[in-house]
Amino acid sequence: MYLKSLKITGYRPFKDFLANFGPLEVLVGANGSGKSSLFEFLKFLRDGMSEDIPPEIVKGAIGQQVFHKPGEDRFWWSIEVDSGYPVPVRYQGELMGPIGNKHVSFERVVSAFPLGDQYDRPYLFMNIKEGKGVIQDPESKKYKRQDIALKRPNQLALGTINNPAMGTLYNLREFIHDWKFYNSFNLANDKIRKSVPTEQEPVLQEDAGNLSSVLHYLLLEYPDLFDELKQYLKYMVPSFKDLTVKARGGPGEVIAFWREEGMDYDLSLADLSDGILRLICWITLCLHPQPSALMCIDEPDQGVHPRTLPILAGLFEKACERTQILLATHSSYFLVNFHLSRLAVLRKQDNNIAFIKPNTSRILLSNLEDFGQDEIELMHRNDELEVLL
Amino acid sequence: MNKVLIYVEGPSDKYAMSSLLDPLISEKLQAGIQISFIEAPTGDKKKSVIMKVPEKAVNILLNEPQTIVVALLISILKTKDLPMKL
Repeated sequence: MYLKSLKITGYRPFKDFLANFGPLEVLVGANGSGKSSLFEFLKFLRDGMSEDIPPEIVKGAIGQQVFHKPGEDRFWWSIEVDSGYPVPVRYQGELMGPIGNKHVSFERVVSAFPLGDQYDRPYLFMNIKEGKGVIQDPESKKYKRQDIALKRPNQLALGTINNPAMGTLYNLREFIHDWKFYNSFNLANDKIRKSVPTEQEPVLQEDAGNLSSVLHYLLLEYPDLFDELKQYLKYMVPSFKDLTVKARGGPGEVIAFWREEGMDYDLSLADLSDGILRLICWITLCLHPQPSALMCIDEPDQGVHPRTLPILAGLFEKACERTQILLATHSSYFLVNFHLSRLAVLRKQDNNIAFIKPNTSRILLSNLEDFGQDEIELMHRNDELEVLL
Repeated sequence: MNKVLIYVEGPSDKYAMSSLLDPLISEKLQAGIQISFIEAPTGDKKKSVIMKVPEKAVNILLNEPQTIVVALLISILKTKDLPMKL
């Protein structure tokens, strides 16, 4: 499954927003152009798959304006997901305010077009209005059609679908629930620097607090990937010599150790710089054998040496063959390391946000032809990229 | 939206001109005309405006004939540039 497109109306800077996504999108744009709000909205949907919508609507947004202004206290969304079946599905919904009295007014999961020639309209997998409605699946024998009524107005109905027999809805919920969000500024370096319990098939937590546990998992069960990870570290950190994971701390706890050229003793993760910890996190994410269905990473270029950025870009390019990745960056040098088709510019205009693919601009393509591909780095740095598109 | 793109030598020119002409820029924006100041790429700024902007202007005008492109160069003769000392 992968996220094909997103439409949002009435949420934060998005008056009427449409974005189409490929396997890897590198989002660029000025401060306040909606990159973080986009990730935040996707996180709102993800969180709604496992918990109630919090009083502030978006977790941690207390006191912030969630609805687009000027406008009504409501937002609407539609995501289109390639479900692996011949017909993509759309998950749509609307949340009505005000914040103190919010409720989900409707939710719908519908096929993007009719499921076959014998049908004249798209198939409705889920149709909920004001907390009541039906769910159905054409392939489910036992649960062809089921009435449901939500217990609370701040629930997303899709989040309550935990019956695998409801194939499409269940898979869609699992897909959204699996999305992960990382931010260079939110990595918990204090947690990373401590011993952590080992886990079964761990995935890197959003604060990367279980990094040593993930490295331990790779070392024991995927030694080839662990060797690859060390190879990337060698490319990126000239003094790097070796990485391993040892049992330290309490029972069942581990922490990674690092060896450098010219040192005859190991350093634990506790001794490493924030930049090196970030690099290990990003490499681990990209090489993980069971990557999350969608990874949104805000400013992975922060705090790392520019020399490492081409390698990091190559890693993300490689990882997007197995999963979908959305990156946000302000680094002109980082973005020039991606193919033009991977870039997307978010631009604020007319109290709205536009999602623009630079590879569709003939002016830009002519400029790159005349001045070379690196011209895009200069054009990003002086705002020309956003002005010309 | 119609655009007027004005290439200038550097960030100080860009911000100074944008501030100076702010009322005009706002007024024209309301009328559907976007006026933008763009700083010349890095390196020798004067040379960049003279050498690169005309080529860029061709690329822009070929695709957006209604756009106006301006190369704004502030020329101050320095005594060292003159053939003889004053």
